[in-house]
Amino acid sequence: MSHGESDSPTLADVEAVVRENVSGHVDGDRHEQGKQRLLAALRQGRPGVARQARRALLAATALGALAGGGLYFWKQHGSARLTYEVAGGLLSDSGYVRSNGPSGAQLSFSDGSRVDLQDGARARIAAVDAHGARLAIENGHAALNVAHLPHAAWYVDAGPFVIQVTGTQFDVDWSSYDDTLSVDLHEGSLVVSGPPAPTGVLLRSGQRLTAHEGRLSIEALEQAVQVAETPPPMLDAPLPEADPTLADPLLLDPSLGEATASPEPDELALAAPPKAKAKPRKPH
Amino acid sequence: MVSSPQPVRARLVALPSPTLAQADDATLAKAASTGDPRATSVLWDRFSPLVRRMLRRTLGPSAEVESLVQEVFLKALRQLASLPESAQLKPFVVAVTVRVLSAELKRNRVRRLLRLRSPWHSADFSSGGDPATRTALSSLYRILDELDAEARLAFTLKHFEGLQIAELASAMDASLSSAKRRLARANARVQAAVSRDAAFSAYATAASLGDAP
Repeated sequence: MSHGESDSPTLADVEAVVRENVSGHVDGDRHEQGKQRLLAALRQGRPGVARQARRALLAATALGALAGGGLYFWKQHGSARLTYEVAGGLLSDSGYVRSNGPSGAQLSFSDGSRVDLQDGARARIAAVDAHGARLAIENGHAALNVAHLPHAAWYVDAGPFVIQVTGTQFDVDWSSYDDTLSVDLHEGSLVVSGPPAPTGVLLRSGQRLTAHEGRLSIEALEQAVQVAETPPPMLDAPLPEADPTLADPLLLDPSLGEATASPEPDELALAAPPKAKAKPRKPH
Repeated sequence: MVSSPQPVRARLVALPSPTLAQADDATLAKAASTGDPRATSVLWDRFSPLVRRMLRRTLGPSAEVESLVQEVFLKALRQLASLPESAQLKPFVVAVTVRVLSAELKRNRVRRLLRLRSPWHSADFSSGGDPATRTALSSLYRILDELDAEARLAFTLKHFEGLQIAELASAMDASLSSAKRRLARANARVQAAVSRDAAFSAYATAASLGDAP
């Protein structure tokens, strides 16, 4: 070995240790066995070829599985995440949005969806993915216009309530002071779930959902607007019982003050009234 | 009592033809490509030690290489027909061996990444050689395991097989500059790693003093 002047081994040492200790010779029997094995393989039509074919098949299968998995993964996660911009408000690194002007904050998403936060409203963009976002309204009023796209999945959290959205136009009002939720649905449909309706209540276009103190009511938006234009209703007052078509007795049990749970999202059988956008609300 | 005759199992053994054993490469290649078992036998005698040595020196002395030796010969025999008459057999066999090695090194790397195969460790060298040599070889092949397939091949062909850069480039089907780059990269990494490796340094020091077996 040529271990040099320094103590470090050299590449010559590396060469030497291998050349001196690793050879390609085997004893005569093993050499002859190898030869016979080769000749046998050649006589039998080269099973190596069959092995290669098997390997190719395995490789093709593995590639197919990989491609399938990749496609599935891409479908699940591969599309680009939605982007968004905030105007008229402040956005913190954690996704907290607060309006900083009288006109409120406007969130514009790359899929065309839009969220307008009224002045004083506070919200948090909890998550954004390729198909939608999760928005948590901490307090105040928000008007949402969610683009109706395939696989769209949007959620709005308001206190203990979750609103599941698939392309609609609606207003959400959440008061953290008195735990009151109000949802005006102008277009499309959505499912609202929360303590009064753990399995969810289906809200249809032209309906207003109000939840307060464990009670949940749904009424036609037009009627609600008319009522609001006269004396402002007190939401913590008993639910109006005048119009039986507005509330499903199976869902709303006044004695319990809660909506009855059902396996599927509850659906209130209401004829969809004409769309209404006016939304006089109780002041915060 | 008459004992019944034992069945005799005849075995055909391909003995190398004296003529073919001394034949030049072109004649041998031509005979082997036609499926002449005598030519195959001569090829095996002539080149299997070289192929096995390249495989063992590149993959590690404890690697199970017999299947790969077979693979090299089957590939070589299939390709012999298309070998130009002027071509020499040894570079051709070396090139086929390099291709098989390259594929095997890549497979090994994937196996290691998937943890289907553990990296080299001293237990791999449990057979043959003295403990100090086994430890040094174990350290060295652990270092070589960190190289990518191309760099490792360039290193082993140059340092263990003594190929010149041009031969190395030809065997690896690479340009001269690519071969030089791969070799330089491998040299630098191996030199740095063996310098840091206490076991290999100790072995090399002992060897330089004449203490190593």
